Amino acid sequence: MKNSWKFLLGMLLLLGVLSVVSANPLLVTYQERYNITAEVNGNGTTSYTIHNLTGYIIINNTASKDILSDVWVAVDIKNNKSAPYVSYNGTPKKVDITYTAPNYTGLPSGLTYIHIPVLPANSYVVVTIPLDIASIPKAGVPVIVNEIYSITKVPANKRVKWNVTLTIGKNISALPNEYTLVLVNVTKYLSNDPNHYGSSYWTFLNITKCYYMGIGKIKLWDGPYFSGSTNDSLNCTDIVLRRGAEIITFTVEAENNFTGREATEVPYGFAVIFFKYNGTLSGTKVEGVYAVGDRSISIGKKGPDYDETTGKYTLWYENVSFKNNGSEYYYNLTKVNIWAVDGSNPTNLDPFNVIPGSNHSLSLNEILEPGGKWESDTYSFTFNGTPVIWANCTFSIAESNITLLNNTVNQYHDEYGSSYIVIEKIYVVGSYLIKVTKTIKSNEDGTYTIYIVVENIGGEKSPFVYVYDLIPKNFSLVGNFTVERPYMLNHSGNQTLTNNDRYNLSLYWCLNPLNGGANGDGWYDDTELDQNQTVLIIYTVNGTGTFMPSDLFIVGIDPTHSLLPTTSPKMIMIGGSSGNNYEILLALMTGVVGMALVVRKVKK
Amino acid sequence: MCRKKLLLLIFFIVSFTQIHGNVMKISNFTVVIDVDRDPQHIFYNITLQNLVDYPLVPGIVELRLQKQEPKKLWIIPLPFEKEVKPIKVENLKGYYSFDRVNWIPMKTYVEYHNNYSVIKYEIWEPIEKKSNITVSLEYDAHILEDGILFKTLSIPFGSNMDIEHLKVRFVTNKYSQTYQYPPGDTFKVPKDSLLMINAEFSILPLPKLPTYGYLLFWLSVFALVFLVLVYEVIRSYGRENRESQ
Repeated sequence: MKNSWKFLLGMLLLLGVLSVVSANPLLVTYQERYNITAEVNGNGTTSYTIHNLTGYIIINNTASKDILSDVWVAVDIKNNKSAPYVSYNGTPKKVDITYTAPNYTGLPSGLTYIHIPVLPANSYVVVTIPLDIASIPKAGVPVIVNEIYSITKVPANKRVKWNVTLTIGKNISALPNEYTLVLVNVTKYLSNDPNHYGSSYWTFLNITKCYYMGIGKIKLWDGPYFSGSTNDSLNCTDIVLRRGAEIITFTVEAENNFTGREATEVPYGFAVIFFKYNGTLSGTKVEGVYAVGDRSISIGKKGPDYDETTGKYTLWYENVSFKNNGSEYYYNLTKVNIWAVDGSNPTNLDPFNVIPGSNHSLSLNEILEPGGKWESDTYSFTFNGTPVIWANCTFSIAESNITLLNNTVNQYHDEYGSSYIVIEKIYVVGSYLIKVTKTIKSNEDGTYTIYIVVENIGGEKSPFVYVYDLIPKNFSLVGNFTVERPYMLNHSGNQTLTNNDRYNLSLYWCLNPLNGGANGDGWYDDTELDQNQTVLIIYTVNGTGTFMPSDLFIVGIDPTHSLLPTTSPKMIMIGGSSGNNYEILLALMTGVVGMALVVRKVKK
Repeated sequence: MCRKKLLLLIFFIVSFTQIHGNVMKISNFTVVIDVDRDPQHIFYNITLQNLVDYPLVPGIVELRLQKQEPKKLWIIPLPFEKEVKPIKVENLKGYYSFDRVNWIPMKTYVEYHNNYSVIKYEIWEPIEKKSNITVSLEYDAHILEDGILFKTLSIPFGSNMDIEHLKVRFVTNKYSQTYQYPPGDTFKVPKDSLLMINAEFSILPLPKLPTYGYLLFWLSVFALVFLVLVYEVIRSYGRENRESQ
């Protein structure tokens, strides 16, 4: 709650930016776009790849009528790996990138300048700056996506469901600061299209339910990458990442027709992540903008009047006016000059041979609304002849009409909208798949009865199955264990643990191969037991002294074609040797040649 | 070399099709081979790390051993003819420890199959969450390939878990190590892949060479003898020609 005011302030700023955009028709945005992909493998591990980070300067005249001219944008470029270039020009004239700008623009020197001669209404120019990620210390994946599956493997040829918990969080180390708000939209697609991160093994894909507790919205819909008419996609929009992560959960229902015996990692869809936040990391910044629009300047001349000082008709009057001819932009009139020259010889007029006393230079800061007009005072001067009046002015689009934005977004992707794709995979087991469920029931006498249900929910017979269990400290076995259908027990063993703080006995059972086809409900019935699809192990423990029943919730299983995430995998290491010594052969060849040499010598 | 690796991979790939999450890894795997002894003495020190938030029981762990060598005609190795067979393991001993101070003997045994042997050891104690267990295993096996002046060694290393730091050290007072590829003594072996360490030792006091020393030595001697023979043949033909004229 301590930082909730910062959140509110951030939201207000975001809203403010949006409202400013509509009022300020010249929009200059510096945007950095991340091109990222991520892959969640069957183990639920996400690996990220940042392909590139690119800066874009977008100069957009959003006015509906006003045409801007002589637009200069000064940019301080940092950490680029190559020169900026114009990647889109929606104007009728060539856009240049230069390293100097005229003085009248008032822009700071020593920067890179984009010069747009004409920027019509509703047109824009994009300048691309390839950035060097390696030289930007904070560059990294700004939005972290993690997925946890309720199961990591599914059997083939069976309708199965699994829950996906998709966690979206900020990577503070890759953001401008820890309070940066990140706006995120997520579109999740299930797919059986190999061209779109799916696998043709999937014959059915559906999202049965979804859940999101944040302030955004979530909706299921029938997406384009699974041909069936199911809700195979979801949109979660307007997610705001503040401090903690946002969590979306959904349930996938699927069926596949994989026929291989081995386990294989199969993609089942992807999530597209759209993100946006204020601020950038490269240090590149728009330092100033200059532009002008339609205007008119007019001068007035009156005289000659009688000059009492000279007693002649030599008194002249001059003034200048400036009009904003635009309809949407405000102008800032900053300088006006007016002067007169001798016009007695029109064929040889020097416009800068100023008549003394006629020159007036005004520094202003006059904001003129669309259609607004500014008029100077009327100035007098004496000249014995016919003067010609000149005037010029300096103005630009008012700063209040220019919006400078600085933000970071995902790179655009033609097909999915965002290039930030999280590919999702799950293991499909074509042969056997073992599920073990440990259920603990309290008895009235204070003992606990343990039911270990081992099921083969795959389609084929398993090999021998090892089930491991641990008896916590201060618990002891009451009697012996029972295996329903005792012929399924191949052998068992135990070991007293003397060096462990939590457990005092380790048990294991080696079960004979289980037939496939159990329903995977974590419990047993006589049919499954009779058909050797399920094996039930029962034993009772009693706690004495200080004991912790929660330590009973542990069980292990091997082989590793197992649904249980706590599986201790059977560890296999490789050793040996590979011979490649042909020394004796080489020595023999040398010996043969040597013998030939000796024989030859002896013969001689 | 590739063919050899391929054969080994085909042999071991059966084991690697088992799929599991990364719940455990081998954080350190030190191998010390005493080359002077015959058969060689091999010592493993393996640290297993539990990566998850619940205890894990390693159970039965397998170390599969296979020897692949050229077929021989008496003692002469035949090129392009390979045979694979199990490695005979002697004097196997194993211990494990949670603190590297108290070492607990563990059940170890060897099973011999048609073309490979398996050292099995059993640990039925749980490795607490995010904790380690260290396993010490030693045995004698003939893994050096004998020559006349040189002995060579190619050992594969791999597991169905990541081996983060594999350290390989050869101990010898009798021989000089003349070759090793890849060089160095610390390696990383991703799960389900094999790293082959090739080494050579010689009774000759030679430095480390860029390739097998026996090839350089015997090809040089062979070339020298062959050149002398050619020289002799040409000289004798010249003499015969002069005498006949």
